[in-house]
Amino acid sequence: MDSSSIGIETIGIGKDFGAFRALDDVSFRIDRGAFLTLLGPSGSGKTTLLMILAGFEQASRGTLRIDGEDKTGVPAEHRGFGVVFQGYALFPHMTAEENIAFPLKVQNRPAAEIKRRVGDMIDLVGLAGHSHKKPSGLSGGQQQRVALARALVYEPPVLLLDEPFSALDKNLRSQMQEELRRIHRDPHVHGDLGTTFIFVTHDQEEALALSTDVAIFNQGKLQQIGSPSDVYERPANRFVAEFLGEINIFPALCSAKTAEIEGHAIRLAQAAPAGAEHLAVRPENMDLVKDGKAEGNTLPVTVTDRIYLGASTRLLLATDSGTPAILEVPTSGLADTVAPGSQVWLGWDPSDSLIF
Amino acid sequence: MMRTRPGPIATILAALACLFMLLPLIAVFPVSFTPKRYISLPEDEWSFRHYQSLLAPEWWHSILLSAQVGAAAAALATLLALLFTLGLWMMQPRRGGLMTGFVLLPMVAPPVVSALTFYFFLNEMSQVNDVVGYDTWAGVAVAHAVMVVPFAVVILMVALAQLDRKLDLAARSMGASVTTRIFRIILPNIRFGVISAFFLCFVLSWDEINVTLFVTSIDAITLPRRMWTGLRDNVDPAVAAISVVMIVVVTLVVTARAIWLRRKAG
Amino acid sequence: MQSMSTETSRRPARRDTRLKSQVPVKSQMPAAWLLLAPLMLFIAATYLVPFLGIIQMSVSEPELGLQNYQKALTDPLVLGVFARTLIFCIGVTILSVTAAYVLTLLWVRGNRITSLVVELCIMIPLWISVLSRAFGWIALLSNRGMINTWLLDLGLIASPLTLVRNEFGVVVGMAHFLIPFAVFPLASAIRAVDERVLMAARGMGASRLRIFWQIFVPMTLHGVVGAALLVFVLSFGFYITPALLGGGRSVMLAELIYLRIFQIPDWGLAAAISVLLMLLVGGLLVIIIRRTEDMVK
Repeated sequence: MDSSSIGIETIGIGKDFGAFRALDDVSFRIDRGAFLTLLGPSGSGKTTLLMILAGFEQASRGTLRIDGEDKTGVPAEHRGFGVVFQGYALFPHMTAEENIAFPLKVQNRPAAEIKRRVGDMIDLVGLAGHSHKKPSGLSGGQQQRVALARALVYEPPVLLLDEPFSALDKNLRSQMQEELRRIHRDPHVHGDLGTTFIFVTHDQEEALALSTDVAIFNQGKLQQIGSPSDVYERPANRFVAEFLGEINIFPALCSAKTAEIEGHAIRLAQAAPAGAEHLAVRPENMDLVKDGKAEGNTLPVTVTDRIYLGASTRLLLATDSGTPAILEVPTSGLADTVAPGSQVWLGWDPSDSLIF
Repeated sequence: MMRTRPGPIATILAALACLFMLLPLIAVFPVSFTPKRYISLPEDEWSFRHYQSLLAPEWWHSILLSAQVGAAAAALATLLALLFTLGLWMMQPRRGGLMTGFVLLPMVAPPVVSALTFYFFLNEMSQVNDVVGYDTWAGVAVAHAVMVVPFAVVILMVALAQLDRKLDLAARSMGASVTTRIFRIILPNIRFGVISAFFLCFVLSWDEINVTLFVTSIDAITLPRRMWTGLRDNVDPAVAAISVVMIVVVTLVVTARAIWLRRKAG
Repeated sequence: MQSMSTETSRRPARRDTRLKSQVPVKSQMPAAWLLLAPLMLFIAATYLVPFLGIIQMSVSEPELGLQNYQKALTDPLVLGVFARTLIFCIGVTILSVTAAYVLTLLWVRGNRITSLVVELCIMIPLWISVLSRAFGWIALLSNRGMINTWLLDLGLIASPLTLVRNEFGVVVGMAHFLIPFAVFPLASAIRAVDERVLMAARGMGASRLRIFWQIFVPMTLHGVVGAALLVFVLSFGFYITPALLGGGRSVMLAELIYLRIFQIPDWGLAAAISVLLMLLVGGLLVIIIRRTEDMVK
């Protein structure tokens, strides 16, 4: 990575609240102009990291560099980042326009410039006609747009977003996601250098859809950081594999080139890492096969339940020793004989096996 | 849902309790119209002489002094409480709970202990200056400010607790200074709390007698101090007249407020 | 059956640290002290330091030693006042909490009009000066007051009853002052009673009386105890109402301090009693705070 393009670099960032270790040894680098999503269950440390990046919390350990400069001890008011909060945090006593103009007034920008920029932002987020309303007179989606405009109007190098869409209903949410992608790519915002977006969510689909990079947290530790396809297709560990999407995990005895699941030999596409005990396959990479003689890997399982979902049918399965698995298949091709109690074979390509 | 309403026994007992609460207030009215110099019920003739006596210098000066003391004490208490609660809310210092407990001390201490404390304090102060001391209006105002400031702190803490902390974080992320955050973001949103705090402090100071009794003698005679004298020695029906005025004002304000709040709640 | 893939997302959430225990970034600390210090210094200078002076006075006036405390804890006069104060405060507490309970019941659970009327009967006296209220009781109860005038006119009594300037007057006046304060803790307890519990009891055929004593009262008992503690603490430091309505005949502890300053000066004893009173009230407050914390948990 070319060092001049690094937007944000954290080195061994940690945070303690009393005896509780909220964040431990977080180190990563992302490019200027990237869209990084911090993903994890609640209490995983993702919001704590966002608060440290924003300058609202002081890290207990470690270093934070923005565009190569050490900003670890710089408080929020001197970082110049944009922040969009959960619940928006719009100033209730100001109109939409006044909210957006506020940061520019704080910076004592000339009145003409304020007027022009506020106008540009109102157009960018599609709020024309609502600029004189107070937040209480705006819908959830409109408030969201004001919050975005207010955080972007002073061209911050970094925009931090803390679960901004969590209060919106599903339709509005996907509409706002599309809009956020558009704004991220908009040259007005992106400029020559680009604004780095850092987004906190616990919605994995949102994370995969929006980001150039995804960082997954659990129990205060960074589990993996990479592109959406990296983290989904090549999870670094069992937590990441289970957290993103659905996955079938079987206990396995692994040797150099082969593995064994409950006595059934499984071929591997590459050597298993030392100490690996599990073999995992995404359900969408598996299929029902006639018998154990199909190409690729096969495994006999018993159907425990069959759930009709319309176009597809979900099969709940179990191996001989009771390890559960799931499979979703098109309803149209599924024989009636595949019923609770019947035995079927799962088949998959050796290259789709994940081992950890 | 059909609520289980209180039964007849509870209703009768509550009616008696209501009567108990209102009787002494009602009893003041006829006495205030007596033509006599002592407590009695007007028989044939109703008189306004005790109301007129309120406009005589001795009562009128006390009324003005109480207003002056109340305004000064409320202003000082509200300002100090505002700074303190803003500091707590914005900076969330360690040991904030302990600091709050400390400033609430005058509210929880027995009034007579506070009174003795101020008697001692203002006598000491009189040795070194003529402004804030025993039996001076400024001395009374300072003592009142201390006594009422916990109430201002509580009201402002409640007002701030209802304000979204993220508003302040948002302002900080935009580079706003502490003064900008206070004047442009926080104060506009807690202005009703500030007004309520000032008003409550004024009313509490206006009614304050526990401490006032210990720290005044002949010069700084506030209205409650004057009433105390009128009650302690020979009961003066002028106390009835001023009481009637205050009962009427309080009844109007409290009733209007109760009805307004109910209308608002629907 | 639960598939393995959803298992992790249902892990119990660890402590949510979001926006809590914010450590202020260091550059803010001077501003924090500029805001916090004035009030604390003001109270330290005008209240804490003088109170330390009172403590000092209690062990040095008229001479160094603990004789003031010895006197406060052994002198029959002081002990008599203490015992009377205790009995009065317990009596007033029982009276106030009982009256407040029925008032609160109607305020919280009565229909719209009842609720408004009861609310006014609680709130109007609360905002009226303790002096006006004492005057009201005098106007009502004195020899030429309303009650005696009526009773005499009706021929029910031959000579006026002594209703004020005695113990009766003190109890009545103190209860009148304290009832509104007992209402607030009771109101939150009575509001918290779930209507469905009462409906369930009615559905089982329980009588109104049984529902009240066996369900409603136990469910609101913590409010009763809270109200009683609060009223008791407040009543202990009282001196205005007893001084006006007791007529100097039934001196209470707080009034004794007043008398030992302004009538028969004994600064050392007054200071010692003040310190003891502060300790007593402080101890009771600690109990109240502990209880409140337990309930919050």
